[in-house]
Amino acid sequence: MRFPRLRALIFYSFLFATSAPVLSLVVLTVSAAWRYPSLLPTVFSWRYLVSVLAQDRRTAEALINSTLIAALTTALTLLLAVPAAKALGLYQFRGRQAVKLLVLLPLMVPGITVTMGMHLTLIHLGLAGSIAGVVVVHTVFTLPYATRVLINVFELVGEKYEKQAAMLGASPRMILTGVTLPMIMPGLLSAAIMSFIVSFSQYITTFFIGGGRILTVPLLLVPHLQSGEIQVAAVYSLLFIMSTLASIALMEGIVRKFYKGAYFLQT
Amino acid sequence: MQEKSPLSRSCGKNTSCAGRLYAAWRPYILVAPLVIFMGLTFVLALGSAVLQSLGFVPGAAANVLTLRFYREVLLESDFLTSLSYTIYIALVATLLSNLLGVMVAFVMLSMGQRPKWQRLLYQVPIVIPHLVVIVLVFHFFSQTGVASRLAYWLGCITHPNQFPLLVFDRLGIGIVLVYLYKQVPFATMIVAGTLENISARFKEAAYNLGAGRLQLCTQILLPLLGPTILSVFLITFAFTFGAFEVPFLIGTPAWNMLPVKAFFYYMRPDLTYRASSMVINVLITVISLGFAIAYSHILALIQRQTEGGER
Amino acid sequence: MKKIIIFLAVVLSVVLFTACARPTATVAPNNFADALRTARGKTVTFYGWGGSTAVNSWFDNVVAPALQAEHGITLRRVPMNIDEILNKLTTEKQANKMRGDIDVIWINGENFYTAKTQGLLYGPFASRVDNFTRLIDPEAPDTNFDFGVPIEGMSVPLGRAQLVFVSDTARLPVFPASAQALLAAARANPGQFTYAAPPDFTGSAFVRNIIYEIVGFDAINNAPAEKEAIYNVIRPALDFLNELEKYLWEGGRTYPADTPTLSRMFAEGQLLWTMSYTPLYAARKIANNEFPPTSQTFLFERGNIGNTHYVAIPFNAPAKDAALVLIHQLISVAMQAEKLDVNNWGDLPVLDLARLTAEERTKLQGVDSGRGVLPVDELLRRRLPEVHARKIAIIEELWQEHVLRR
Repeated sequence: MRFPRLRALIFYSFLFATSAPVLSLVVLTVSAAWRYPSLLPTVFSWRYLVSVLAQDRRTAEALINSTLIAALTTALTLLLAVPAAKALGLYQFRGRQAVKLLVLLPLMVPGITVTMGMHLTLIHLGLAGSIAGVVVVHTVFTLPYATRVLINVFELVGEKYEKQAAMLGASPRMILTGVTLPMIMPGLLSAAIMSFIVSFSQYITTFFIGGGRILTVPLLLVPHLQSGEIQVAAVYSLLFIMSTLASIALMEGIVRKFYKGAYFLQT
Repeated sequence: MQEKSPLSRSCGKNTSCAGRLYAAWRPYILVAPLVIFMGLTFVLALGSAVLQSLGFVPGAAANVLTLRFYREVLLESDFLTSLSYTIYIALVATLLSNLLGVMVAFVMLSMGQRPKWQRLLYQVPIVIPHLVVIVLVFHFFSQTGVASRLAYWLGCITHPNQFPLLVFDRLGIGIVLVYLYKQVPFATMIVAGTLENISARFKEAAYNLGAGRLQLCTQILLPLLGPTILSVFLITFAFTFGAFEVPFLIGTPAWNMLPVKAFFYYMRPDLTYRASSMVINVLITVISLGFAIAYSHILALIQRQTEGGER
Repeated sequence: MKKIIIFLAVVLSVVLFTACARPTATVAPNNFADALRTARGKTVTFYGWGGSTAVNSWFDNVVAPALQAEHGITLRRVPMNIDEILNKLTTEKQANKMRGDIDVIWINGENFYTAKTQGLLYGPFASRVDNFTRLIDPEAPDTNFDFGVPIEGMSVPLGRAQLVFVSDTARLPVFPASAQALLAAARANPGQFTYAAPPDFTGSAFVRNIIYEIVGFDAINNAPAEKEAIYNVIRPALDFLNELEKYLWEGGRTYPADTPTLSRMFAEGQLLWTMSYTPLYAARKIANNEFPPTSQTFLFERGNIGNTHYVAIPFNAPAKDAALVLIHQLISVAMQAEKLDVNNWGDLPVLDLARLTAEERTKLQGVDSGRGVLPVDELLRRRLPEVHARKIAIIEELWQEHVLRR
């Protein structure tokens, strides 16, 4: 192989570019003053961390809302996506391509179009300004990702183990918990994590459908981004990343606990 | 989740028609909840957008179906500017991220198995939302950001205004940077995944048959990678084309990408502007779908050629 | 398949658009005493611009505790820009949603005009607010007109704003106190002046102030509210702004999107000036160490635009009684004095000094206005009126067409 140094340089600068900015967020959160052209903050203080995390009671409200919405979105997504993915992954039937297209279409259609289009309907249904309404809209955008992953998993796993178990006399319930779930668990987990992240990151959908009543972390972050209060924005950003990572770890932990020994794909 | 009903079990392998009937209907029962949900949300939303774009705006003064708003929007002086600006940003961001992503994927795999922490580290941007990436780009590339400070210390500039404007700029560099940070690792991940599969399957065989490096690349890798790269390209392009937050937050006020333009129309308290907003929404959707259709055709073409080559 | 989907979509949309209507409007109290009684224990929701930590803190840390302690009402503040609030109300009106989420909004100018003409406001209610009838001058121009729009009891003044410029005397010893002086200063310091792109509120006021400087208030005030007519009147001012543009930040190829960005650029030494709609803004920024201590507020010789901002109640406010009590609280002497304090907000009060008791007057006048600002009487002396609300959007559009996208 030629140019090993050059390749190492490319790869490691790539690694650096992806990770170093995140570390700089941490520095930003504790910098009270950072006058140009100083390379490091001139004054360090906990001021921004304290004012956002401890003094602003809306932070806790937003964090709870964000987590709750993401969790409900994930649940609704899996509930809809798992059966559909099974059908799409395992069976040939008329209209299969149409359904596949329908579920992948939100990847192609701008989020703002769907959100504005649903806005009026959700107000009529009394869902605007409620957690339920926000969950419904988020689910439209998480479904394509989740379904895609799950279709692949079902295609990979196939139906033969379920059939074998059935021939050996296992009950549907046993097949579900003993065969199907463990087999698709890695895919289920990555579908869940993706749904959670996509929902957690939504801004404009929550903005419209929540109508300001549903505060989430992105909704608190954006005004500070707009006014250039970058330290405050950094605190929210860090909170954002931390809570996402914590939720992912929690999901992985739970799954591992219940399905020991199952083989896990890396997500 | 209903995997198997008692009915289908009792019907067994070669029994009654009830079982067969159920088996025939089973896929439809399984997809029904999803299809109903998408119908009531997504399809309805698109329908509503189309209706409103045709002038059927509830609450507005006149509710006659008309193409007037399409004409007005299309004839507006800065619509074409917005459209070309949107295409330009989406193309630049997508091409660069795909190019870099493919390059890094090749480099990474050629360096042998990377330790787990490295594989996790480079995927960090995938879980970081765009809003946070905007904070990062702002922090690094604004005129008083880290890059500008470095330039100052290196003696390249003496005043922050001498640092080139990279966010809120007319060329949309800030917007592109945000998308690069998110999309290069994404492209890398997908392409590397496919590459690993391919090399496991073909490399050995090809080498054994005495194929050269160049042949390996052009005859095997590229045709097999093509569909992957194309679909990554399409997903990222459609996203960039229709995304709102990034251009809204760090774009220039001088030109608006189409989604931002739609947003501003929608925000006008005068309801007749709703129609104009929806016209833009429908146009963005049509363009994105156009790309999707073109994609599926190209994909079919590639697959046909590859199969032809194998025969 | 596709045809069926499209058909279903059309049918369902039509049904959803037209069918559901659930008018359940809330009843409002007839007088303030009733409001006080029924509002106790309720939550009142305030929607307003949330981009200033100082303003937010006045609401959250001064008004909210006082409202809870004195009237047993919980204040919930939701940060949202006024155009987004009006959009929300418009959509709710469109959907005939008679029980909304918002009790009080913060509004003025063209937004008030829009809200009033689109029927988004509840009222007239001002006469049912105790402190309004007791403390506010009924004859004052801004009690009766908001940007030339008759108020007719549909909103109550909350504070008085005025466009002010801030520069660092250490770096710019002479204030550019007229449009021509500004042009000269920009020419001498290329790239170090700019303003936020209208429709930013403050940037828009700056453009109007330049119009006053170049063509005079009367010319624009007398012009009919039509694009063509206004363009003809303000053309010299737009030409001036285009001349100025050559020496602005980035050569005027782009503008900061909002005024907080402008201030940040001033604080970081990128610009020689910034501007604000809060006359005492500089004092707070100096106290916070964000602006250099040598910063000083100034006006154009011929004066700067001032206007009053108001609070109003949406047509579908769920707790109109609590809304009346909140508004009463907002214009109390104690709250207005706290609001004037630069540590909280630094916004000018709306109360009629003649109507206050001696004690109340002392309280209001004893507020420390901090460093780097102008005395309140000078601000009021050099205060220019606003043009009619309908002209604001037209001027902004013309600016975008002829200056920004030229």
